[in-house]
Amino acid sequence: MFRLKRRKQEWLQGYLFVAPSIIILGIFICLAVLFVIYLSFHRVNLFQNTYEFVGLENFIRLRLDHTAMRAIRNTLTFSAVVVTAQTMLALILAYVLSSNIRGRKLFRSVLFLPTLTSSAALTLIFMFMFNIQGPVNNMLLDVDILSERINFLQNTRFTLPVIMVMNIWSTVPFYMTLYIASLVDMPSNLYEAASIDGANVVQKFFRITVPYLRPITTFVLLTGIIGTLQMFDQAYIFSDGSGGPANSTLTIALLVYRYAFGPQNAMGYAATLAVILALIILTISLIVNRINKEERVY
Amino acid sequence: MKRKISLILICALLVLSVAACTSAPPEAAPEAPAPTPEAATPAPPVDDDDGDFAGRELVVGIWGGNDTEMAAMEEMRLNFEAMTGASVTFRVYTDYNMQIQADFIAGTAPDVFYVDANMFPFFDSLGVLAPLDRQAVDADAFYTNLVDTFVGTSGQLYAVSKDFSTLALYVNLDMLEEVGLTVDDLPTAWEDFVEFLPAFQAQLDEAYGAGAVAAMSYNLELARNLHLLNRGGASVIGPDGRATLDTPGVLENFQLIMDLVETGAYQRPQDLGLGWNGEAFGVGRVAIMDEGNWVYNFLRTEFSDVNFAVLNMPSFRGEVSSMMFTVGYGMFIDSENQDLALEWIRYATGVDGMAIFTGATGVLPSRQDVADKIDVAADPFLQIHLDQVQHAIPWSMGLYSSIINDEYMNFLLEAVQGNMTVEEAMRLAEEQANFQIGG
Repeated sequence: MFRLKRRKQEWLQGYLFVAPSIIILGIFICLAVLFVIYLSFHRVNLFQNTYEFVGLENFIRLRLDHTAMRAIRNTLTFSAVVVTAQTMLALILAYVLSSNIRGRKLFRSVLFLPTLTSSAALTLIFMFMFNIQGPVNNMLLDVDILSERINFLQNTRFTLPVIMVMNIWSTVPFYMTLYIASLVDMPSNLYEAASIDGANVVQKFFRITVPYLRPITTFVLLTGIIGTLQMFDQAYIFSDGSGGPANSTLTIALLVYRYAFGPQNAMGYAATLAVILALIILTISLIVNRINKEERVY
Repeated sequence: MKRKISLILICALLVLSVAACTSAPPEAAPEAPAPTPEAATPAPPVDDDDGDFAGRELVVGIWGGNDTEMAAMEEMRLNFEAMTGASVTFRVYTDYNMQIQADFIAGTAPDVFYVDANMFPFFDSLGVLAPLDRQAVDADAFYTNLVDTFVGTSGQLYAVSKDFSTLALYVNLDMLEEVGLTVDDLPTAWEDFVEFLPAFQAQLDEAYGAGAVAAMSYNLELARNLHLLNRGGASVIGPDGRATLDTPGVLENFQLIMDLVETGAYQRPQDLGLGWNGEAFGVGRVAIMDEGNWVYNFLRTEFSDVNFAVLNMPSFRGEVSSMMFTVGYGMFIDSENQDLALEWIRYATGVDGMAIFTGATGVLPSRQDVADKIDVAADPFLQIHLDQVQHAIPWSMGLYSSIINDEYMNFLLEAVQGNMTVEEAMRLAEEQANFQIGG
């Protein structure tokens, strides 16, 4: 009897402990998510407070929306390039910096700096660097890679890649730190055994380091995918909110914002886009997770 | 014992978090001080001419300006408070058109607020503006096109222009002199600039080095190009506000911009790696530009060594036109203080208020009597800007101007960069804009 009461008390206590966060999450995440799903089936006018049920009309409309298709394509391209590059770079840098090279502490600190800067400030700095009169153009001209200046910020072939470079540069250090943290714990006898067997540095990297870091890689890939698919701030600042030039920097998140708060007054359609974005993220994340699990079997 | 303490703590936390969720929305707090509505209700019927406004509060929604503008606003505020005995609070928005929408939805918009002429059709469609009596706001004293800009679909007046700006042509006199030209050698028609620019560019290249100075700069935005595109009866939008970019008239007019671009001497400030025309002109990267009078004080203060002249806009298809940009004061339809709000509008757009603001900031007064009072004519360059009011068209392009403008900027940029034909770009821009407009 006493034990039962005690257990009940513990049970109650546990729930009380999590209650504040459950309530906050419930209101600001769960309710918000449900409301967005609800909105995506409606035509909404927030000013007149009208919600008209339109069924799947918003989803059908999406298929005809070239701008939205462009945004989805931009976002997927962006994500594919950035996630691949940032994961590989982070891994290689971590491998190099966890070996016993001289000054590795200094390198680690210096490389970590971009992560500490706000992305708004970073974007402005990159826009200065890639300006047609800016340092990048000057450098490329000096070493004769370019014969004439490229307007990286206006030429639609270069705008998205510039944002990619910016994003990779600012996210790699964070993931690199995660990898280093795991590598520090790695038993050195694995490498020693490999050396005795005659493995070279490259073999050690691919046969020992990469498989050892697989759980971290899963995390890096997932957060990378989610982060890049939701990219908003850099494109917003870069294009002054328009997604231009010529929709070349338009991402799904930016388009959601434009539809929701622009004169289109299309909160319902914006919600539909947000739902689609969530579905894309969910699908890709599940696939990545699945692939990683399968490989862990052997 | 310990467990009890932690239980109590958690309960306290819970109560706090629930209380935080249920308490009044914080935004509403400064907006609706409890006594105001009660005080407001009995006051207006007494009389509303010389006003029993003492002790009441008025919230004016504005966007932030530079120091001079804010000082002028402050002076107006003090005068108004002394006049009426009411107290005025400015609610300064940073992302105005976005944030004020949230206030409309929440019903907490300021009593009286700025209305950008270009946003006016949108605000009108939302029904957030209260109609204004033409007599009460002295509408006849204003330039007529500025009054018409704020007439809603119902035919009533909903906002009163507080000031305006126009585009005019700016020329760097030192550069002209350097290549042996004078202002009189400049063409007065846009068509003639197509002939003039290549030779002028060659002279500039010779004097300053190749690529150092662009002969002329432009912006690829409807806010700047609309007066050219609508020339000769063409129109960028139809009567329903939807885009009609892909129409023969507009295409033909856009050919002027293409011809100018193809001279290689007509460049956007972004092509030069600079933020905007004023900067490009100030640092000496551009010899001629069409810009608004906001650049006038900017050049005087930031680039005082630049020797320039302001000229009338060139003609196109035998007709001179320009763009004008205006902002008015509108009254919130659900405001409890409409009598006081109207009083603010009457003051701020009246002779005294407008003279303070326009006199200090270099924007143009919306009425001739104020222009006389602050003696705009004493400055011939500013007078040229004011003269544009005769033929300029207001930047206000129906409900969907920002959608149409976004697509215009997107696709026509591809055209001037040579990645698309003009026809293709216009077709896609129209298609995409009308798709987003929906319906």
